[in-house]
Amino acid sequence: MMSVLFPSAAFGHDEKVPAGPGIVEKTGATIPPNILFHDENGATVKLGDIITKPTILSLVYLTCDHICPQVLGGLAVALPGLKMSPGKDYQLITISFDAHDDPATAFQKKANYVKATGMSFPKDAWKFLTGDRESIERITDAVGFHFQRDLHGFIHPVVLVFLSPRGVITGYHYVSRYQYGVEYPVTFSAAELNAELDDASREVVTLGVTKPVLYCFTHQPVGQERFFNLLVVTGIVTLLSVAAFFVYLRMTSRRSGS
Amino acid sequence: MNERTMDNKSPEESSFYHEKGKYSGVLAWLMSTDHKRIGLMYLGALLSFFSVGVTLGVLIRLSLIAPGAILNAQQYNEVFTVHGIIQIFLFIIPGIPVAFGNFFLPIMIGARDVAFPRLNRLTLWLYLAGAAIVMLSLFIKGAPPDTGWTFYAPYSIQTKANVSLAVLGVFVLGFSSIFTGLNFVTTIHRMRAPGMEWFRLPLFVWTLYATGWVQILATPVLAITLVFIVLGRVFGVGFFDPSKGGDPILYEHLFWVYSHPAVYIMVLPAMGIISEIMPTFSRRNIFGYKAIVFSALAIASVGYFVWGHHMFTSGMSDTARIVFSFITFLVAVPSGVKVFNWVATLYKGSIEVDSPLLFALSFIFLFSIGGLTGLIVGSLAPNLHVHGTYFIVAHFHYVMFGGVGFSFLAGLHYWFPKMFGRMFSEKVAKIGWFFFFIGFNVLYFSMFILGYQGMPRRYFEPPPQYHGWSVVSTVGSWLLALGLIIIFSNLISALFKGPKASSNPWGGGTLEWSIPSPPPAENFIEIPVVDSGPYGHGKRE
Repeated sequence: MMSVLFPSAAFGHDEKVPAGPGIVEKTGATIPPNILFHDENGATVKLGDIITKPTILSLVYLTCDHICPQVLGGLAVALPGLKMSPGKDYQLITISFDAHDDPATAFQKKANYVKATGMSFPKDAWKFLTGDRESIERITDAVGFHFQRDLHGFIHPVVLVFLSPRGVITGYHYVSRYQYGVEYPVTFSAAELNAELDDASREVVTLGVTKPVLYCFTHQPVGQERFFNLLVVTGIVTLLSVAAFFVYLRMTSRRSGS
Repeated sequence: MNERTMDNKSPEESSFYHEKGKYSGVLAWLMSTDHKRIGLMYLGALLSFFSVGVTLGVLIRLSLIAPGAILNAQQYNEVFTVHGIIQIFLFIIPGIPVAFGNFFLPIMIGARDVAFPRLNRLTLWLYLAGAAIVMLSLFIKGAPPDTGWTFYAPYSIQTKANVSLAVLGVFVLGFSSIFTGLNFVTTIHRMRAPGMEWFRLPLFVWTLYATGWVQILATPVLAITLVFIVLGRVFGVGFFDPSKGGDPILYEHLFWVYSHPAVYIMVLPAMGIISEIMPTFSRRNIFGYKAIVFSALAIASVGYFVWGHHMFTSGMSDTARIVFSFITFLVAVPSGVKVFNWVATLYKGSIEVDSPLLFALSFIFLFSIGGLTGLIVGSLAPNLHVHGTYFIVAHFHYVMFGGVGFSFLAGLHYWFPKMFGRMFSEKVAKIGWFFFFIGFNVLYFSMFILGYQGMPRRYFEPPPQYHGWSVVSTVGSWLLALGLIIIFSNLISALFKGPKASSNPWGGGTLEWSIPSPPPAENFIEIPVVDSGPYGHGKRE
């Protein structure tokens, strides 16, 4: 399976719903407080009850093995550089948009990423929520996050959403750069996160700047295999004919030089 | 290998220039199947394109120190693309084999011509046709190609510039290259003079042999890749388009499967020329003949398996990257063997520093820098840092221009008396070499520094902190151009006014020095019988 990251223009701040996966910014809108999810311990929580601080909301699916782990990992290592302290001044919420994800998986993931921060981290400062299809649709609609089920997972944009303590969407942070081959391919600048959290705490709404956004998707074209077979066959035929040419040159006698 | 003279005519009168054929005028050349005439026509065409490529290169350097003053951004993209296409596909890949290989291969193995003289003529026509198509893509309606010489998908599928036409031209050039390879391989197998055993072949012939196989095997991959580009553009077939089930990374693989071996198509014959010049000017037999032969064959075969090092940052598994990096290090070994042998040939030699040797020594110096920096970019960690920077630009110019370009000029000075029967001024040649060599290093070594500092390649307007070294580099380009002007004025004036050259002005030991300068129509009155190895037999006359 091949995963390909492909930057594409982000959708602007208009009300047009994209045909496929993408982001329609809803800055200034308020998250419906009464959406129900399970936290990583299996307890039922109401979104309005837990959003009480400036919040970094990330939407991923927990079985993703492409960019989602890189985003959460990159976020985790950026946290120690922030001015604010987690649990006190801000919190993180990661919601899975795959209705098949369960609190047990969420618990494992949480332990993993909290450890990755490398700092003492209050237990409640990063919540991993899972829920049913209806709750997922409500929250993704509320933040304008459009995804699509694919053969091997989901196609979705890669973005962080900033929420004020009252649940107002104050801004979006698009992930637009993937550095191939380094330990953390996705990185977040502490300065940017500080500013965005500061806006969220004061409920200052910033409009998104149109910026290329990365999509997470799997890419295994159906015709590829046949194409490779074609290449293999033509390659072997070429090699055999060249080998036959060599044998012919070696076996038959040398012509006179004149 | 005694010199044979014609019975009743002077060497001048009996030369192939005076041969009367079916046609006269321009057609006497275009319709000729004489390998020497074909070689010379190739040489003329190559040098014409080379001069255009150099002019565009100087223009790129000028634009970089004053962005917008001479070229706008789109024109800049077009100029560096066309510079690359011309220098790579029209000059340096066909380069040494078609010009010097055509002229000297049959003579060096004691034959009257190549195995397929008419196929040889066809390659020239295909080359001219391909070149004409590429040139057409610059001038017809639409814009000249702006993709870079690599035609990377998906941009090459999408751009409105005349990419289809340029790609078609390169496709035709590819066939010219395949036929040349086929012809040379057959010639070396079949046309050797009696007694010319495999290990008595001059080393230049060996490198042409190795190159021939690379041309035959690798060039079809380029051809099919370019066909896919055209199918994508004209019929919307999505081989490299992810939205249609294709893959742009696949294009990069296919392209470099050809284009890395193509580096050896350029470099191997260049190494062959150096292997001819070193023994002649140090009056010694070449050191380690068989080691040089086997290293050429090793480079030609291992060179097929390193293409992935062009794509370390494109998206490959770590295993693939480590393997490609390792094989890249392996391919450096035979190159190192050659450098050692050339230097060892000089040891205790009676060295005469004539202009061909100056160019050959410069080759060793510059090619070593190109090769060693190749190891830097071939290792995974530094590659991440310098990928897509001027470091890469500097590296491949040191290999191609510093290596192959200098070797081409070395060969041109070495064989000039034989090809044209005239001598050039040694003094002027050395002055030209001086400016060219100094200019070259000023121009491209600054690029190593710029690249190491992180200046990205292909930018129209580099960030201001790189301005200083950019100016140094541009000044280097003027020195280099001045050197080239001196070098070629010297050669051109020698064509008309130079004193007559003897049959063996340098004291070379290979067969071409045993016949008059310029050679007679069918090279040899009698096919020579060879009874010893190639070097160390010539007497300077």
